[in-house]
Amino acid sequence: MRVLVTLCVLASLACSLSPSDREKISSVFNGPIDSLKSAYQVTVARSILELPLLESTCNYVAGNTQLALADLYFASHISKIQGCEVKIAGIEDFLNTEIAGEGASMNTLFKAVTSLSNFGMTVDSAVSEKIAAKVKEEDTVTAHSLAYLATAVLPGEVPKDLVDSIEDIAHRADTIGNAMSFEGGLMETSLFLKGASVLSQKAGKAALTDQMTQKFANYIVSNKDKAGKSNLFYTLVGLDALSSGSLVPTHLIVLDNSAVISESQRTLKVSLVNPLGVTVKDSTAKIISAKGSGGQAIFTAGPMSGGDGTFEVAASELTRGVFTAELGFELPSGYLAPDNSVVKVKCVLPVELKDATFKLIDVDDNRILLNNDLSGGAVQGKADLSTRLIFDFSLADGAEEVTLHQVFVRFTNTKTKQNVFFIAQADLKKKYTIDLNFRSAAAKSFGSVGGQYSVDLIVGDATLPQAMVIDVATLNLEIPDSKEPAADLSKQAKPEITHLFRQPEKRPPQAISAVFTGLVLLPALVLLIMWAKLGANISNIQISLSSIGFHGGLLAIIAIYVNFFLGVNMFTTVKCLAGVAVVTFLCGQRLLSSIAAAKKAK
Amino acid sequence: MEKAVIVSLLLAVASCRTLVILENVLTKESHSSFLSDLSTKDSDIVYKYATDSSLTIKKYGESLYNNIIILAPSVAAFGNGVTANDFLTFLDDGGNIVISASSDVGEPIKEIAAEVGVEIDEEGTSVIDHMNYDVSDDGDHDLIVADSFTSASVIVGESPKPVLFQGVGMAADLDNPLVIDILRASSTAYSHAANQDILEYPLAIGSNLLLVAGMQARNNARIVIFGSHLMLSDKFYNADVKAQSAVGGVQAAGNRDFTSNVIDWALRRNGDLRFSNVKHNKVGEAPSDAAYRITDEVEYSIVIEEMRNGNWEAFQGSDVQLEFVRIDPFIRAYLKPNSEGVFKVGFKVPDVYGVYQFKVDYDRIGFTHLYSTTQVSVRPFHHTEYERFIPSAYPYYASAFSMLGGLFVFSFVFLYHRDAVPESKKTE
Repeated sequence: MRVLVTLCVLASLACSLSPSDREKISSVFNGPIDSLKSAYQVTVARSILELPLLESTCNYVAGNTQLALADLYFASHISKIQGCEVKIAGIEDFLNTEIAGEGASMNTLFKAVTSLSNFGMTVDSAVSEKIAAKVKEEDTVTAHSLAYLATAVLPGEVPKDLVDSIEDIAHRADTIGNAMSFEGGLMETSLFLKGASVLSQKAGKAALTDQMTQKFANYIVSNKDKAGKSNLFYTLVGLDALSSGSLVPTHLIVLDNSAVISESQRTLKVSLVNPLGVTVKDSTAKIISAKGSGGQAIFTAGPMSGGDGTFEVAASELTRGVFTAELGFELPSGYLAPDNSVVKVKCVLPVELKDATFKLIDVDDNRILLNNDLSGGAVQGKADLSTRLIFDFSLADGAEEVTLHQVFVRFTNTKTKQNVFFIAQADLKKKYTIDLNFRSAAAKSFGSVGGQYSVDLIVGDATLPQAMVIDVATLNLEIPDSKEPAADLSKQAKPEITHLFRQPEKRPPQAISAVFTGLVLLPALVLLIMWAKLGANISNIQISLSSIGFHGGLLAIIAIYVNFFLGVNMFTTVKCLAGVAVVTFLCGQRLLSSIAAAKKAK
Repeated sequence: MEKAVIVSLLLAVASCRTLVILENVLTKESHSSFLSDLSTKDSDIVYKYATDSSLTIKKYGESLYNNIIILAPSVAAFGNGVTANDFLTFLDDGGNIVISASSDVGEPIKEIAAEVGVEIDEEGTSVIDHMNYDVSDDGDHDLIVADSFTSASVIVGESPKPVLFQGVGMAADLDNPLVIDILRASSTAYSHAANQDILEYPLAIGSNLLLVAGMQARNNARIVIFGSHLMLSDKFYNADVKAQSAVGGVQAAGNRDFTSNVIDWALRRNGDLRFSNVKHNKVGEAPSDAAYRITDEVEYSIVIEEMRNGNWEAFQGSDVQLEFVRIDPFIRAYLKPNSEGVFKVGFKVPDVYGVYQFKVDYDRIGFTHLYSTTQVSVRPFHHTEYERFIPSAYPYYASAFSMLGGLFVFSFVFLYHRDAVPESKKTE
């Protein structure tokens, strides 16, 4: 039997369950058991993960199993794995009747056959013909998978055409990138792999090509992050099938610690595991070579320490960079070493700022305004449009100068928090320079926003243990006509507006108008007093129709005027006045002439 | 009758349909949680593969769908000759689009993004952050932990948790005011190919770098572009995050909640506003069509509702403003909502007459634009409505009435006076 070891390391594609994955999945299969199906899933999953089985399962099975095919199927599996007894009379007869039934589907046949086998009861060998006929009739991937599973537990020879059909069925799977799956998804693919695995194990013949197995494995593993008990259950079933050693089992290598070595962690750890994450026993590993892109080595060629699937080796020399380490394995007999066992190893080392000079120059008269080597921390400076900033530095790990991916100088306006970035370019001697002429940069990069800026140097790279943000300077940038960036107010509440009402004109206090009211009434009073003094009288008064009419009319006219003042409009006033005025006029005429006549008579 | 039922059924079916365009068969598996969340939001989802030859988004001049979700970042050309332009027309017709991009982003996706004011960086680049990469990063520092969310909680929900991101960076077109930066990178991030030296200024650095961009067009159609296809995957949904530079332990990634909220917004299940029942009246009187008089006390009320998780609910915004406008606003005041979403405010009509409008113009990030105007006229005082009996004028009143009274008394004295002195008579 050929056995394959493949290698997939550090790629975005995971190829086996990591310890944390196993932990995560284990926690899902801790219970609760609320149906026979969940009892079955928990028990099978725990046996695949080699976890202790739950004791309560047996009681649940004993109390909840009915004489029904679905119940018996689940119970039989649990009973086989956990050794529970299912005490129901007539199971054998019931299952054999199910098999004998005319319209028995592949599903029924599969469940009945596996249940009988799990309970240790005899299965009629004639069933295999029935299965073969049914498979031809239904001809789905699932039907084939079930047929494989059922046939594998039957006694006797495995039909050759059934084994041969495995590869044909595998060709029905869709290939996307480096993964392969059936249209029915995880459940269908897992069942197929399980069926193919047990059947080929029985037949003693690998049925799938290495490539196919690898692609199926990629697909199954990609499901390990799915939520849901059912998804995880079928992921485990699929991985179990891939790990059982009969399908051209795929043994995989994963690296601990993301294959990063540093001063504090100088060893590279490698695990040789199967898809379920179980290490391969009795294996040894050695380093064939470990070279960086420049040809430098970090591991000395030779055997790695450890065994039973976990190995480690300490770096001989730490050099910053990404290395490809070629590994060689000696595996127990039957295992095939991978063709290409190359892993990516990253060595991280810190760098430090060296030879820094932070210069501010006045371009008009070439006067150096500031020259500091930053040994005393951040500097303070002032700049305007005629200033040029030259910031030279180099980055070194140990004695050697290096170039890194991210070397940016960040200006942060302390007021608006606006960032302005400049990219530092290294020259051939790996010396970085930022040369900034504020006359041109002011408008272009700073948007003509002056004020105080803090200047940081950001140094980052995948090969640094920790990115650095170095506070370089605080710069007061004076830009004439500096404009604050206008905040976008269009999507905000606008300031409230209250209308300013016209103020009423200022009036004198009431006391003054009262005084003046008194003053204007004074003449009338004076008149009365004077009259009294002079002895004015009305002794000549005559009571006649005309005098009553005249004075009454006069009074009425005054009353109409007062009424006009208080509210009646002019039309009403004129109408009333017309009548009263005629009467008053006639009476007045009569009165005056009578007075005149009386005077004449005297 | 039957026809009517069929028509109404058709209308109901057409009322909300979502097309999900998948990259390939695996997308359905790798993004199963995203798709199952989506199916709880919309019952009528159509799945198509990007290269499907039956892919159609418009038939007989009508959009077949209300929303399109494109989970096909690296598609080079859509099936059935569907181009980026078709999606833009769909947007113009009021449809909503959600797009996931990735580092191997295809040309059609970039084209759609560019048209809505979002520039997606070159193929092969990714967002790199050497400070805030996740502890499970595999070496390139491009699996980053992002937490610079937009402040608009209607899009991202209240206090979203940090999310895991791995994908391509975007930059907003500065001339496009409609772009919303839903998720920004931290100030130490940049967008570049990890294995190439940086020789030119990258597309964007720091907080100018968008990880998730959105846009609400002027017709209220929405589009959201996720820079990371993996961000929506089951893997990231169930992952734990911890920024390498952060202190403390790992915490569950906020991807699922964040994505769900953003999708709710994008499919217009959140952040839609509508108004009804605009009323205005003089205080203490029933609404009428008559003009208001200057300095009247008036009351204005409007009912505003908000779409929240697919249901219309009373809106509770505290920053809705009413303007009383005659060319320029004369009054701008905050409307106060009650629990039923009735927004009310009272004010005094300005002492300037003319034709005014009550205007509610509510335009906030994440909400659809709410705009209501109601025209009213404001007249000056009638002549009878001025003040009577001004105290300062009492001297005038007094002088006038004393004059009238004087005349009346004088008429008696003048007519009936008899001299008491006989000598004067003799002299005469």
